[in-house]
Amino acid sequence: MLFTDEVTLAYREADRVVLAVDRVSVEVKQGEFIGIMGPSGSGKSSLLYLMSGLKLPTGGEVRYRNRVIHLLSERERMRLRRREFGFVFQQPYLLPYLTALENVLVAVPGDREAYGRALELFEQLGLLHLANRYPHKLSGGERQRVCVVRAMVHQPQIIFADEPTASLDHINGHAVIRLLADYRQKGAVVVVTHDPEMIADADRVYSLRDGRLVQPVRV
Amino acid sequence: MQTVEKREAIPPISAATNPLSAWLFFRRNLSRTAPVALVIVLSVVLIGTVVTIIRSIDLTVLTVYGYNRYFLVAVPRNGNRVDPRAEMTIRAEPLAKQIYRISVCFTTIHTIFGKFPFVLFGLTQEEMPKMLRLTRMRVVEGRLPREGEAACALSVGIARNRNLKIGDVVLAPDIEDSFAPVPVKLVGLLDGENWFAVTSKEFVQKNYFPPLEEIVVAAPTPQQQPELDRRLSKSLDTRQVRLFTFGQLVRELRSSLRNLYLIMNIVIAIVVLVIAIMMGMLSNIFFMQRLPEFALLAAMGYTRGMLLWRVVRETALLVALGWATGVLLSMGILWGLYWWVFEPRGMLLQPMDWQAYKYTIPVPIAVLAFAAMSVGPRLLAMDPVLVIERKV
Repeated sequence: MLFTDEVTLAYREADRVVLAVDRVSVEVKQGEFIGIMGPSGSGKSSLLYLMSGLKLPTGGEVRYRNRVIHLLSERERMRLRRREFGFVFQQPYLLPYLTALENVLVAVPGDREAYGRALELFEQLGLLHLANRYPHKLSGGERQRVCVVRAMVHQPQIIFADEPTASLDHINGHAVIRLLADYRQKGAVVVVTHDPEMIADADRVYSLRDGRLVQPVRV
Repeated sequence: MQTVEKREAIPPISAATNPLSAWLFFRRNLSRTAPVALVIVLSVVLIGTVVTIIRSIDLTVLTVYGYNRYFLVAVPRNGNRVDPRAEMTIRAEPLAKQIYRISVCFTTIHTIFGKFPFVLFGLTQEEMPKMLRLTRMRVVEGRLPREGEAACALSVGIARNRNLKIGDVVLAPDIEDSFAPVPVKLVGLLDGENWFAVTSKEFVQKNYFPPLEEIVVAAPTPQQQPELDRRLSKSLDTRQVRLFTFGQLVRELRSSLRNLYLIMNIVIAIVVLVIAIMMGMLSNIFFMQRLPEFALLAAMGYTRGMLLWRVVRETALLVALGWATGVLLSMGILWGLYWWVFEPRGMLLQPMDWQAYKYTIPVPIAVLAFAAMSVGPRLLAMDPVLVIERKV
C-alpha cells in the first residue's frame, strides 16, 4: 500500500549536513497498525512527514499505491492528503471557534453524508455529548479523541499519528491508541511514539536511531 | 435521559456541514471581526457623509438656479438697456419664441456654504403668469405682486430657507444683503420644479438705480434651450451684452468646484490608504494568531490557494458587511440631517446620492487587496510542519 525505499531527508544546519532520515525503507500494508519508535531526535516524526507527503525526500522515494509521492504535483499531493490520509498530531489542536463536531467536519466541509458519519463516530466513541462543545470546554484527552475522529471521518486509507499520546495521561493515552488500533479494520494506521506500551498491539514496529532504522524490526 | 442529552448535543446540520464558511467565522469571532468591520463602517460613513454634503453644493446651485434651464438672460454691458443691435439679433433668432424685457433685484438665500444671491424677476402683470408657466411654477398660496407694488412672490423653498411667511418683509432698507429702498413684502408662495421669485417690474424700475433692463429669451421647448443658448452665444457681441445660460452656469460651477473636488479626492485617497494599510496590518496580526489553524488545514491537505481563497472570502464578507452597514448608517445620518437640519431651513441635501457612495467603494476594495497582499505571501511561505512541530 505504502512503502519507503531508501528514503532520506537531509537538511543543512550551519555548515554541516544533518540526515534527519537516512536511507530508511519501511512498508505499510492494508489493515496494519504500524508503530515507529525511537528516542527524541531519532527522526521518527520526520519519517512520518515523509511517508505522508508533508515533507519531500532529498533521496529515495515514497510510494503510495504505485505512485511516487514526491513526483506528484503539489495539488495532487494535497488531494492525496485530504482524501486518502488522516492526521493526528502531538498537540490536540482544534479550531477554537468551532464545536467538536464542526471541528471534525473541517476534514469534509459541505459533505452531508460525513455529518452522519461523524455523529456515528462520536456515538461509537462515547463522545456524542461533547459534539456541541467548544474546545475550551474539553479536556486534553477529549480534544485528542475529537482529533482522532477528525482523522477518521473521511474514511482515509491511512491514518498518520505523530506522538498522539504525548500530551495525555496514561488512561487517555490508552483510549486514543485503542481508537487508532481499531481503525485497522478500515485502513492502515501509522503511529509514532517513544512509549513502547502504546504500540504493544502493533502489527509491526520500526525502531529508529539517528535517522536510521535499527534492526531487527519487531513483528 | 441519555437520549435527551444526546439530542440536545447534536448541532443543526446547516451550521455544522460547512464549518469553514466565512459567515460562521464572522459570527463566531465577533471580538475580532466586529472592530475591523466597525473601522470600515466609520470610514464609509466619514467619506459618504462628507462627499454627499460637498456634492450638495452642486445640487444647491443647480436647483436654486435651475430656472435658467428654461431661458437665458441677456444683460446690457454699456448702458441701462440691452444694445438695440443685440436686441435685433435676439429677435431675429428663429428659436427665440418668448422674449421679455425685465428688471431684477436681489435677495439672498442661506446655504451650508454661506449666503447665495437670488434674483427676483421684475415682470409686468401680463408677463408674470407666462414666466411661471415657462418655469413650471404655480401660485400655491397668496397672490402675485400687483403693478408697482412693493411686494414679491417666492418659491416655498426660498420662504422656508429665509423663514418667511406671507406678510413678512423680504427686502428692506435696513437689510444689508437684501436691500430695497422701501420694504418689500411677501404676498404669494410659488411651488414647482425650481426655485423662483417674481416682483413688479414697475416697482424695480422706480426704486432701484440705475433702472437696468435685461432681456429674457426662451426657446419653444426646454430641450431646444441649449441650442438657442449656443446660437445666441455665437451670434451676439459680448462687448454689447453678457449672457447667462444654464450651460455656462454648470461650466462655471464645475470649474469653481474643481479644486474642492481635487482636495476631497486627495483626502479620500489618504483615508482609504490609511484604512487599507491599517487593515492589512490587522489582517497580518490576525493571520499570525491563526497560524496553527492554517498550518493544520494545510497539513490536512488544503492547498495554499484554498487557504488564500478562504482568507479572501472571510475578508470580503467582512468588508462587504462593513461597507453595506456604513452606507446604511450614512443614509440614516444624512436623512436625519436632512429632516432635522436641512429641510426646516430650506437647504438642499440628497441623502440617497448614489454618486457620493461611489466614493466609498475604494474602501472595501483597498482593504481586501491589502489584506490579500499582506497575508498571501505569508501563506505561501508557511511551512505547516514547522508550525505543527512548534505549536499544533
